[in-house]
Amino acid sequence: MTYVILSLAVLAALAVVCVPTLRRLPFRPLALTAVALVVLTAVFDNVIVGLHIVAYDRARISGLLVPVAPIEDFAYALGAILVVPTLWTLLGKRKEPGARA
Amino acid sequence: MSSVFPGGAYLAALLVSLAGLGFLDWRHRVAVFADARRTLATIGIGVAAFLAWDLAGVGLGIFFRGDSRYLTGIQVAPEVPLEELLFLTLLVYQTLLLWLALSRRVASRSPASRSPASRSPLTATEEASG
Repeated sequence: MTYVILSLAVLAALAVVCVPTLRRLPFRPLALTAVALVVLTAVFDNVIVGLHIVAYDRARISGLLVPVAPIEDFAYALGAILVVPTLWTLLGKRKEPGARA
Repeated sequence: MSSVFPGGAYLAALLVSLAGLGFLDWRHRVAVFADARRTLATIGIGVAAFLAWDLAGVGLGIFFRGDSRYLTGIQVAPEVPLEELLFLTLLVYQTLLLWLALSRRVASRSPASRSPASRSPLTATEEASG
């Protein structure tokens, strides 16, 4: 369960930091990107795990596999949709007049 | 050296994938080719954040480098192969391109009906169109 706890803790921390920025962005592009990332993760993470490029301590994962990749790995896809649009938006604001220096 | 050197297979796949994204970015002027500094900063900070997440997982003994023959064996940190840096770059770049491209479609479909351009993440790229 260590991996479940780590994943949920990281996603919770990222959500606290990112959601205030994401709330002001159009919802559909974020949602569609999230769906696409989850699908891509389902395909390619299974390739990576299946080819033994990464390995896991079975005692520290939940054991829920889809079909060979641990379900916790999907936290990376969700983390990306939180972090990347937030960074892009905040980095663009810095240059605008009237923003905090 | 040989083109069938299996140790470079994953690295090569990542580089081909990144090149493909780079081509799409160039063709449609989405990220690097619209605002290079903003893109490189987004990718740099994003990759650093995911690397910290990786190191936490490695530190807790959750995951580690596999015994795959498709890895080069070069490591950038304990249990973190060189390829992981490129994988994280691919993840962040893919996310950025998809989201910006989808945002552009939404912005072009609803022309200034609800709120001004400040809502759009595309302030640097809006003049681009097919």
